[in-house]
Amino acid sequence: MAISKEEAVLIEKARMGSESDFEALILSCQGKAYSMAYRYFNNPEDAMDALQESFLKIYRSLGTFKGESSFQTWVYRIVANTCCDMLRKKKARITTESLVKMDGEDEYTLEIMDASMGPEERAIHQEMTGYILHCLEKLPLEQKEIIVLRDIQGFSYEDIAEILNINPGTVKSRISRARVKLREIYVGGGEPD
Amino acid sequence: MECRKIQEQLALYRDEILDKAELENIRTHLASCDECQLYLDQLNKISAELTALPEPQIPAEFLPVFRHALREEMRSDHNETMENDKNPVRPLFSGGWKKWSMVAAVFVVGIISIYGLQQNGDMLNPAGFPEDSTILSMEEEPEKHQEETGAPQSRAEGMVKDTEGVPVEGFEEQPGDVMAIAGMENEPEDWDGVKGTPEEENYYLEVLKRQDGRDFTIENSFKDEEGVWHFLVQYDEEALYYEGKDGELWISESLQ
Repeated sequence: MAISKEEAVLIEKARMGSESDFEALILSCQGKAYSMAYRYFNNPEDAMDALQESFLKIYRSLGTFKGESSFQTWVYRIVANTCCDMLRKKKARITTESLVKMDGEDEYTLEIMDASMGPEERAIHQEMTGYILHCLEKLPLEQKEIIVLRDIQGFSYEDIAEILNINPGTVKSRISRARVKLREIYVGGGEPD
Repeated sequence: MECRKIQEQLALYRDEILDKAELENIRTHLASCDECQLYLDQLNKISAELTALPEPQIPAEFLPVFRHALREEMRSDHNETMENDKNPVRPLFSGGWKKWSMVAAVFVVGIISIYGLQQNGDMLNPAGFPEDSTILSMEEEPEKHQEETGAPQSRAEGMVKDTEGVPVEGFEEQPGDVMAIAGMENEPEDWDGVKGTPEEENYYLEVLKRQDGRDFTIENSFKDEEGVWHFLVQYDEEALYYEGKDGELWISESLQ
């Protein structure tokens, strides 16, 4: 059994329509789920839309959860699927400008900043994080997704296999290809060959 | 050719998933290939930058809005929701997050509503709450009030004055009484008691209308299972999130 007895009880109560138990279930993973969604879209509004949609899907689908994976992994799978679906639909409208604001030709800025940084440190950090995110956006969605899950969110290969519903061998080859491509974009000035 | 194969493996090098033979082969190759060593350094630099990306924090407005969406979902027909599950779900608050996000950023409390009239010239304290409380009370326990203060049980039985000395309709002035309503000093004439009961939404909306005279719109409101009313109130220059129960209305601490 991949879920704890406590989780099983909460899931059962949530299935019966208990709002507070459902909330207790999702609270345990909403922080990471939001962080994940944010990295798909790089803006809080879309991330919250995706998260809300994901959680409602989870509520509707509780009856189909068999406990074959952990509840959290199941949640992240639904979040990943929802983000991908939304991103595909919005792809035409999502441009680099909306993800990474460019102040100048070679300058990139990022919305999230650490307030404790000094001006110089902040500027360096802005440029660095802006550039790596810019490069990440140049990857195909499938490769960007696996970099987000592995290198930003830190999921294990096994978890990624469950979240994306692919076999571990595919995870390995996809990570390898995505990192090779990202390096190519990174050293190539932010543009794919 | 060998470099290309090595570089593909280098992309997985730090994950420690390669077998011993592969690792040994890579180490031997790196010792004699500057190009692949540079390649590995670049991969490590990219990895470090990705790891160092700031962790986004979930905005405070997410949970109350999601709760509302969930309740709407719970109310809907179960069979219909199962059918909808086959289709993409339309976010119930899509595009409205910016307004909600204002709530989390605003903590200006300029609102004090005072009802309990105390004798001996003491400054009024709303329903006995601490002086710095943000609670807005439109209810009072009349018997207790009279017992403690000698003031009329009903607001309608007496007449009090505002801080400018203008009689306030529906209240009777008592010796030493001072009425101070922040932001309402010049418009107490309409103060004639709140209609409805503390269980009803309109009750709290009327409290809100009276608190400081500002125009506002209700962006969202709902009553939770514990009987607490939730209101997202949009003013011209800010938005505030209130909760209300048992006749009391307060700025929600959950967003502070």
